[in-house]
Amino acid sequence: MAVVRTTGAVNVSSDVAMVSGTALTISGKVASAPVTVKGIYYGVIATAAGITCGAVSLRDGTTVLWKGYAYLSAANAGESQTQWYPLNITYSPTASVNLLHTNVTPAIASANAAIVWY
Amino acid sequence: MGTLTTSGSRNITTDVALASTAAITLKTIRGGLQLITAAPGAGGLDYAAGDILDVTLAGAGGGRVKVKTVDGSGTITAYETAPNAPGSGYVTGANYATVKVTGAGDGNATVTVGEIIPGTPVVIHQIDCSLIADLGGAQCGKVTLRDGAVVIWAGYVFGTVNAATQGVANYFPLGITFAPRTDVNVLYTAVTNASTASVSVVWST
Repeated sequence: MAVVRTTGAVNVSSDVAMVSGTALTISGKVASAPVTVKGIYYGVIATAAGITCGAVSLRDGTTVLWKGYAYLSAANAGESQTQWYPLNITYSPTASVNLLHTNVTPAIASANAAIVWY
Repeated sequence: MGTLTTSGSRNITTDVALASTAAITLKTIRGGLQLITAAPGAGGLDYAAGDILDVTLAGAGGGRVKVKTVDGSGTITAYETAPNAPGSGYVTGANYATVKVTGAGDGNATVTVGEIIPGTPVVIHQIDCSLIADLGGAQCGKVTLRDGAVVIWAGYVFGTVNAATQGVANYFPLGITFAPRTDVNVLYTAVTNASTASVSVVWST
């Protein structure tokens, strides 16, 4: 999992092969200071031809704040379609700001995900 | 591949037939030396540990490195990876010529610059990517925003078409600000068919 922390007013953490059940956590972000999640990019990456579906959750620690789904009917493994969710959610985290990918169909797909926040 | 830079603070790099694994470069970063690759491409002769060398590159100057170790012939086997002086105007690259400042080296040693001091932040406002089908059926392509070879962000475009040359467009409103160290480039990679793509990047410094 690749995580890139950018400088400037807007930061993004990016991942292009995130396995199910793993979380992408914004490093260094501590509790109480408000964050604004500008948007989330997410696309499940097929591991075989057929229906592929995954879910992405924006969380404060393990508390789910928002959840979205991505879906495609792939012809081959490796295919994906990135969804852009323009959230503009502002909140004060108490634990950590993280993004969790969970497979829906099939059980072994991975995902690309990025969170844009400031 | 066409590149168009508009006036004002916003720039557009556009391409209408970007081949798979091809990249368009938005900006090449120049700056002072930050990281020197230890092993030289060419070690020269008659150098000694502690010798200081100027790094030569057109449009750059003032960057200096220090020799860390040599063999029995005075061939450089390693540099100090932190530069002796950063200078300015450098780009990352391999086997730059040198000019000796101190010591008795023959002047044939080269230096590889692994990193330069990060430049002015750039803002990537958006990327538009439309894959171009090479045949009917499912198409998928991947577009990657990079600093040199380091991936900053990646997204996928997917769709099904019924004939070659048809396109499927995706709009990615990124709003990403970062300070690049090498160059800012966007790479397109075909995943399934979709061997080419049109890619546009709106960015500013």
